[in-house]
Amino acid sequence: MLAWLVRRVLAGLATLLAVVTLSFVLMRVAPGGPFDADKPLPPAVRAHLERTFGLDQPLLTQYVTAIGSYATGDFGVTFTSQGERTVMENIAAAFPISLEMGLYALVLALLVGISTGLLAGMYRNTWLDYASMTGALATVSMSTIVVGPLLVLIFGVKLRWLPWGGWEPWSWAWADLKLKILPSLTLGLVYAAYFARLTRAGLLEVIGQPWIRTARAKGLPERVVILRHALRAAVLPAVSYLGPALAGIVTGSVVVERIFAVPGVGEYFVSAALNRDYPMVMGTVVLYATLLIVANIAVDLTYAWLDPRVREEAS
Amino acid sequence: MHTLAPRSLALCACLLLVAGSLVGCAEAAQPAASAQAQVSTRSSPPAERVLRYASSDAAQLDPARVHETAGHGLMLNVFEGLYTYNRGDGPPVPALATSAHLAADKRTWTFGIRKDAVWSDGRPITAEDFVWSWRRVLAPDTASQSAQRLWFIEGAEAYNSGEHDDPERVAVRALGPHTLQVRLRGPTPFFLALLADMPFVPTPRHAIEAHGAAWIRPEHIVSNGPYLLREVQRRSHAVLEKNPRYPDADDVFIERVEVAFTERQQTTWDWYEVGKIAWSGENSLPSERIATMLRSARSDYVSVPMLCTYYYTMHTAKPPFDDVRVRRAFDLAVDKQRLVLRILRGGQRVATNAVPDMFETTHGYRAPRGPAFNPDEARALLAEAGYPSGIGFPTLELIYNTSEGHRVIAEFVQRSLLENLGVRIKLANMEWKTLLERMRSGAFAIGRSSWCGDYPDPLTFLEVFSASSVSNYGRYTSGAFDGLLGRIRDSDDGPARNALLAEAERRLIADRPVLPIYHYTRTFLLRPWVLGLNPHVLDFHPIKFVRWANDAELARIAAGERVSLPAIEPAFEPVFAAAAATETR
Repeated sequence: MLAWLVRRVLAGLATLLAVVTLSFVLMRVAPGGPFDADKPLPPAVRAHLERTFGLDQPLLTQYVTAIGSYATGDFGVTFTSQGERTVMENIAAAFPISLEMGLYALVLALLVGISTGLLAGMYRNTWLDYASMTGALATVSMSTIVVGPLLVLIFGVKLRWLPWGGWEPWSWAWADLKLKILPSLTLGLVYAAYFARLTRAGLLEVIGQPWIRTARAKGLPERVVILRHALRAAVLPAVSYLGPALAGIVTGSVVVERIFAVPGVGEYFVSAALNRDYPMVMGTVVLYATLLIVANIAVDLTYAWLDPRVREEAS
Repeated sequence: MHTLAPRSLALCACLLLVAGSLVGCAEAAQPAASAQAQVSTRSSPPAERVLRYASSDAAQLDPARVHETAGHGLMLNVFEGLYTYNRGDGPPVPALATSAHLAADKRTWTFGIRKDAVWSDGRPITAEDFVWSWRRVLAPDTASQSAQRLWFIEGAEAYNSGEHDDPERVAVRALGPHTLQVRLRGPTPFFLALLADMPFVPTPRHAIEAHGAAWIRPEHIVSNGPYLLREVQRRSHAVLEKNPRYPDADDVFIERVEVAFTERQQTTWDWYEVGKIAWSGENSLPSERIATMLRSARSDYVSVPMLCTYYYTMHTAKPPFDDVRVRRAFDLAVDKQRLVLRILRGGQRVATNAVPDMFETTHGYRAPRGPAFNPDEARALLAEAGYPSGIGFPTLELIYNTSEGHRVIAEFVQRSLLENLGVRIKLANMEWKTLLERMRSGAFAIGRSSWCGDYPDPLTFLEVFSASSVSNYGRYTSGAFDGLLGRIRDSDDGPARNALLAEAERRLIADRPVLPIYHYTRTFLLRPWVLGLNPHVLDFHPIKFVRWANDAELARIAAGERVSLPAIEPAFEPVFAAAAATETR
């Protein structure tokens, strides 16, 4: 098991290096540079800016220098702020926000998704099943780009129940909490729908298995059969979807952050790429890549814990 | 079943939510005109003197470097130079200046500086602070993107461009602790208006030397304007509070300013609708909303003509646009009236020339107009150029940056050219930086551009087309035009200068390096009881001039009147040595 883990971590590091290299190349291949603006700069000023930020060096030198400093956790200063802020400062301020929002969204997605899926599976082919699965299908098809503005329109503008805009990380004061409801809901809802469908499918598959028949034959109440015996196996598809869901929540936060004016990392990621703010792009890429690699390893570990067959293979 | 009841409830709630969303969808399709009308008249000013508005995120705050509207709009309340912007359009008003004197050479300005002016930490502000700050902006190490604004000062361009490294050769001097002298490289009739601009404010040498780049953060900042920067959270919000050490603090009404950052037009609109903000601020509003708003009778929007022109640049050094007849044919073939008034409907003004038509009252300058839509003449010109009915004309690509608004215009132009000239062009949209790169490197035939004035003078719109301008993407070169620009730069304010400006512009109209489409108008939402945020061509609004409406004014507002405050009367007039000499004679 330990050897497996070490192998996975090493592979993760290699992936990270590949991602960084690819991003570096893509960023530099993209036309335009950080100091191309609506009103072009005088060549001398432009040259000076490029010299200040080391952009006048050969690409390979820049790459080697960059990798060296990334390894020590130094991503430099952002170009758009011209040195007023470092990349790490921006990320340190924004990441807790994205993390918190992602966490709420994931918890919401799991709770709502798995319980809905179980209900639908237990009462399959009843109105409950049809209604919840139609609802799930509708939500999945709508995506955050549609759900977000709709929730704003209903709960923010028409009913005026909830405000939005801004995010005080890890503050549970009611005034701050109210701001967090709409964005977390939007981000989580789509994944709740996925989890619901996966859980229902998982349950239907499990429910025909001999060990469930045995449990029923023992005369156990249906509730115990489902919660104690079927649930663990039924959520396996949902668990394997955790990795992609996490990826989706992390990247999906870009859209949600913009709609709800949440100052998280996602907006930095997009605006940095559009502004050719190379250090900021690399900072966010490394953050996202690390996050996803770690999440995937964690999912595999969870999977091993839930399914004895996988545990066998891993050890 | 009953044991699972709570879950069923949760499920039902979910379903309701989805159903509700769908209902909301249908509702959103129809604009609720009645609801909009209520919002505009309903509210009255709050007891607290807190102004809340929206802005996009301010990437930079250091006055020496700030070059985006967001940062500029925020920091002009935190720092003040010799002059500041008036309330709305009107001459710039003195801030730190107590006198302004222009010598007979029309190039040497001498300013008196307020003796009661202090930094927010109590230290006095002296002429030396200005000298140091202006040289700091120009120092190549500062890498300021707005340093060009100071190039009107003698020796500034050379120092900024690295031709020499002696800051002493920048012609700004402290003649005494409260006397500043600056020598310009030529007559610059709009120099006082420039002085209100951020790069001209004094910055605190002691704080900058102590804290480096971090000096601008709320915990270290030392400033001199009517407000102090109390809080900035990137992409979230900023808070300003009244500066008790500001010399005129008693006249400042608003105690606290809260700026909410969003990059989204719809969010700005919604925040205003729910009452989170009293002014849509630096942010634009959704264009479809502007169109409906202009047609409705609501009284809380302000439409401001802006010093900006939207146009298509043609590459004048490459065929087929190296032929002026082709450029003129393209311009004549597009019915801009119809495009702007019938299709865009955002309050823009049709453009037939480069300079927006707004210098008549301030400068007495009446911009000459270009020809109107004339497809017959367009066809004749194109035939003359060798492409009768568009036969043999190469298939060109029109490039623009991806946006719904730009696409509508590009498609209109594409169809107009096909219908009126028989010319087929392709459209290619691309991301902003890619477009800039292609325009800059000349890898285009016709592309979308715009130009916004740097200072309130027609010259700022004409200098773009000088052969040496880095913004002259179309490579337009005309010795005659450049000669005129030189004469304008050497000319003093007055009818002679205006005549030269008009002549230069007529030449541009004849040579048609660009196909102008419209002059910008900015529309913002503002509660009627917020007074003092008057329209301004550069869209800069000092908050120290803002106050709530009093009871009498509220009654007039309730009666449907639009109440606004007059422009500020400058405390003193600048003295022009030459003019004074003429008068005494």
